[in-house]
Amino acid sequence: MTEMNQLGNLLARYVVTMVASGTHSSRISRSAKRIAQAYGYDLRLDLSLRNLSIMMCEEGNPSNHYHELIAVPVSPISLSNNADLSRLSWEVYDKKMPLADFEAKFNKLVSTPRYSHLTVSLMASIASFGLCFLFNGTIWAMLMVFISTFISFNLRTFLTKKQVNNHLNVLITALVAALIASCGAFIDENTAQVAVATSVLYLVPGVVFISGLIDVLEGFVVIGFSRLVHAILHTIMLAVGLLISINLIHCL
Amino acid sequence: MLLYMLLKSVAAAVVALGFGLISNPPRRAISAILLTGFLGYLTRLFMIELAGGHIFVSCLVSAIVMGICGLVFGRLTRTPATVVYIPALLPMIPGMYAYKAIFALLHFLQHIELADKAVYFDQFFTNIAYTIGILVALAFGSIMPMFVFTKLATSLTRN
Repeated sequence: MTEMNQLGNLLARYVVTMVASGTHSSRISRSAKRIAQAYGYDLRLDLSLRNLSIMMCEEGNPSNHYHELIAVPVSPISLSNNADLSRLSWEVYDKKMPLADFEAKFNKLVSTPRYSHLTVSLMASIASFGLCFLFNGTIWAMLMVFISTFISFNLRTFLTKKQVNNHLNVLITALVAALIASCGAFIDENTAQVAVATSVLYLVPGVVFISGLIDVLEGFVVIGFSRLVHAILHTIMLAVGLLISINLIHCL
Repeated sequence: MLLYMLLKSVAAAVVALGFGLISNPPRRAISAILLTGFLGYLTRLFMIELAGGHIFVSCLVSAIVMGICGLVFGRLTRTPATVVYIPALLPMIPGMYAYKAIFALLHFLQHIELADKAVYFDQFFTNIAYTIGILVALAFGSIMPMFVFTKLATSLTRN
């Protein structure tokens, strides 16, 4: 494999990882172009959420080029990948890092394990507890929210492992979270209201919303709107889950 | 009042970290997320409770503060500003307004009397307007500093 093919293939993996991690497009584009420039190449990117295309050519010799069209896998948001891969691009650029070292560092960064599932589910539950406190919920409401977040978060992980459609997954998770939180109604109705309102907020796709908005404002309109539509659909599913649960609570 | 504001801001910092962990932030950014969440919420409480600001303006100002914190702490921890301020924005999501809007929508659909429908429609519209207004203020406010200090924002991760 020539150096150009090796770099092109590696950059394709780099860009795919950044897109799948929820990084906004101008950062992806800048970082990838910086790396290509460090090795003496020009890079053109066509980004979308499902597939992306990269074309790399030798500086001053466009006839010698590399082109690849790659599918973007569905993977969870990772702010670590966003930060670490962006930092890696500067390291490559500033230190003129050999290609083998760049590949080794990239492979090491993308294989860094995420936080343990137990840590994340416990912290998300504590965060929901805290959010309920911010909304002036009673101690019972806070406890109900803690339990509902812990159970529904684990349910969401289970459904994701079973490859249930993501929108359906959000709907079911929001429904279950709100239903569990509504058990506070046995104590008093006000407790239930705050608890139900708080229980589903950890599902709000904040990273996708902000990345989509930045993309649109910076002129990456197509991928920006794709992200926003995705985030809006996610939020609608969340609202539908909440709506069904409120209706069910009223019927019971 | 000050103790109340500090306690709520500490809770907001915990919320920022807890919800932020779902998006797998780098370990070196954790203290930055906590501090940004704390300062952002404190600004919002200060604007609402002491300065008597409207909730939209308060959210906009606190989001700008968080955007600036994202740049400053991002530079110190070598992470992009978005990695710091997105988790910090999460405690400010207008959950109660969104809930009340959905609740009013449900009642609007269930009632037949025009007078009842008008009341619930008014509640729905008011709450959805607050929800969208706050979300827009948070999003634009936090992004704004990145567009003002473009050069800094594009080289935060450089050693």
